[in-house]
Amino acid sequence: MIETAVFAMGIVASGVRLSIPILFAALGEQIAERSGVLNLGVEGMMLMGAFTGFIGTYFTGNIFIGLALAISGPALMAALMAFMSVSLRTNQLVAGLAIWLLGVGLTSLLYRLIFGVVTIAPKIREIPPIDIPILSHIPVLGPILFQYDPLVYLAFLLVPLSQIFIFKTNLGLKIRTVGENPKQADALGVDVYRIRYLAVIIGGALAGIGGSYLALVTTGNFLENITAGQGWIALAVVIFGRWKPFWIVCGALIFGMVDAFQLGLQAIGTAVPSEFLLMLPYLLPIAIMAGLYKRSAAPAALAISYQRGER
Amino acid sequence: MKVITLQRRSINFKSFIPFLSAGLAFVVGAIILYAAGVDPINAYQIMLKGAFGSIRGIADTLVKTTSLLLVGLAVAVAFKCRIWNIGAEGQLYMGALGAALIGITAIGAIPGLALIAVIAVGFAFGGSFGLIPAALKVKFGVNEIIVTVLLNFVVLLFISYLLHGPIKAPGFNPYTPEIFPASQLPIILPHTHLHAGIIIAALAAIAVYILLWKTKIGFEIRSVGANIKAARYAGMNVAKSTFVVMGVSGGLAGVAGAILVSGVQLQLLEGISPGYGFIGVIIALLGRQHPVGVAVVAFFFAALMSGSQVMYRTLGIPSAFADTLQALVLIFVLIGELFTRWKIKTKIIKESGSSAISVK
Repeated sequence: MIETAVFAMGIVASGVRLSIPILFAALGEQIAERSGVLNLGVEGMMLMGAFTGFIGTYFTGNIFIGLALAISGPALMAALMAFMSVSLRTNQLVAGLAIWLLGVGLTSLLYRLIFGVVTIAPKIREIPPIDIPILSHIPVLGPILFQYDPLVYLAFLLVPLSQIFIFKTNLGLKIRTVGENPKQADALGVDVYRIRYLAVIIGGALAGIGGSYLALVTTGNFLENITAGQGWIALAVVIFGRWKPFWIVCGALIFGMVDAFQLGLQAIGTAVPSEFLLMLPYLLPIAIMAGLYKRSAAPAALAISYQRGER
Repeated sequence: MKVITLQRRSINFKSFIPFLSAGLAFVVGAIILYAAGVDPINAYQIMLKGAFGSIRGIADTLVKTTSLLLVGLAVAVAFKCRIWNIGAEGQLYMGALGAALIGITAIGAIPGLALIAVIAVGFAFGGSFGLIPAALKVKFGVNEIIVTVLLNFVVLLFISYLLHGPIKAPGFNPYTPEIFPASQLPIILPHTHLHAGIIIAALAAIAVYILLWKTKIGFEIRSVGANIKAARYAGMNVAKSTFVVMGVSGGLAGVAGAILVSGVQLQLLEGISPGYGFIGVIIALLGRQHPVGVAVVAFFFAALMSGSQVMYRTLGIPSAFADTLQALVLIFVLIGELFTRWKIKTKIIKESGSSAISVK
């Protein structure tokens, strides 16, 4: 009985941590998509964030420099994505796929060039959990709510903040208008291009933090393809979350819990081969998207490029 | 006030730009090499020599062309119908699995029949796996991009499971036993690794051309791809096109996998493909979803890959260099496309108000 409770608490706590990279990325992608840009490059940007975040921390020993690089590297990729899809009006899907593949290739190339072939991956000290006095020592609630690293709290803080940003601020209104009806937004004097650039770059920066979480907190090192599809899962979470932050956090948590559950099962040992358990995080988004059956709530101008003066 | 306007380019300028763009990608590659302390000119020379400098090098380039042509065609067929199949990697592995299952069992030992079965089952495994995202798209309206990407991970885990248990050869390594000689593709250039798979890939390119441009269903596929609303209005069956396209697309990727088993590795193992399925996406886009374009790009990328292997052996430049260059070529060509369609002109006009990009 107590063992089961301890196991369940462990699942919840590690599920929260596992949901963080996806939560950051999905919140960012939601903002980009709200402006009408479908950024398929999330996975590549997360990888870049993991890489630049790791490199920055490894060579300076300063976690803040690491985080700054984890934001700026992917933001630069996002600017390229925006340049292609907004300014040049390249098909957004094609531009996103190109950015994704660039992220995959470039991060593993640069990592190998810097560190060579290594038997033991170079490591940094992971960001430790904050020890909140009193609160973190409460039984049950302590480990579930108050024993995380700062990035976890930042991610959850971003949920209401992005809700307010999108629905209550002037800029958020502009982003939504641009995503729903760019022509009307333009007529109202909103600079469609600038808003889309901004939204895509915010999205890239958040994807970068999400990716860097894997290197800076979860593992303490960088591995090729360390994101293992989490950027794509984040895209599914945005669809599941119907472009709303409070639903997105639910989607990310469901994913994190399932992942933690299958890892927990592997740890205690079951008859099910581990490979099948490892499939769960990938099959779940597919099942969820199939279950949503055409109840899409996508912004009307999503993935449609805008040309001023075109009818 | 200064205004930037764009004018349509004349057609003959078009063909030149992509090559210039690809060249720029190599310039960026050179900068990366230089920053890593490698002489880029020397490195590119080694790459070129590695790909074309010897019979073995050329044979290796052609072997890689075989895989890349098939996955490029696979993705191209889907893209032609605006079905975004990013799952060629997984479909390739399913095809490789099918081929291996034939190759290590009784049918695989029958001369003649074995090879036909290996390729056919490879196609069937890859193709039927491609039907899953097609069904999800048609029945539930699920976006095929995310599904096909995620299914790649599922397949790799499934193959890993099989190789660590049910179809593992005796011993420690996660390999299947070697396939029977009757299931192995014959070598067509003695003393090299060049096998008959290149002929199959060439036939597949011709078959894709005939399917898309000479048949009724091909016309429907292209119509759906060009304008889905118009195609629906004309009474075309979009669901049917989706299934046909994903079946053929997955099947071609499956054949690529089958050939890797029966012509290259002679057994199934993890990591049998160095990401061919993803490179296929770039090839299909650069080759403009046409078999000839795909073949040209596949050959070019194959040379890049075999050349970069030699570069790794002699200079220690990681093979990810080839992946990066391929992605850069795509990005530069996409950016360059602006200049194939439009000519930038600046002129002064007397209008007040915000600056604008307008189109003539």
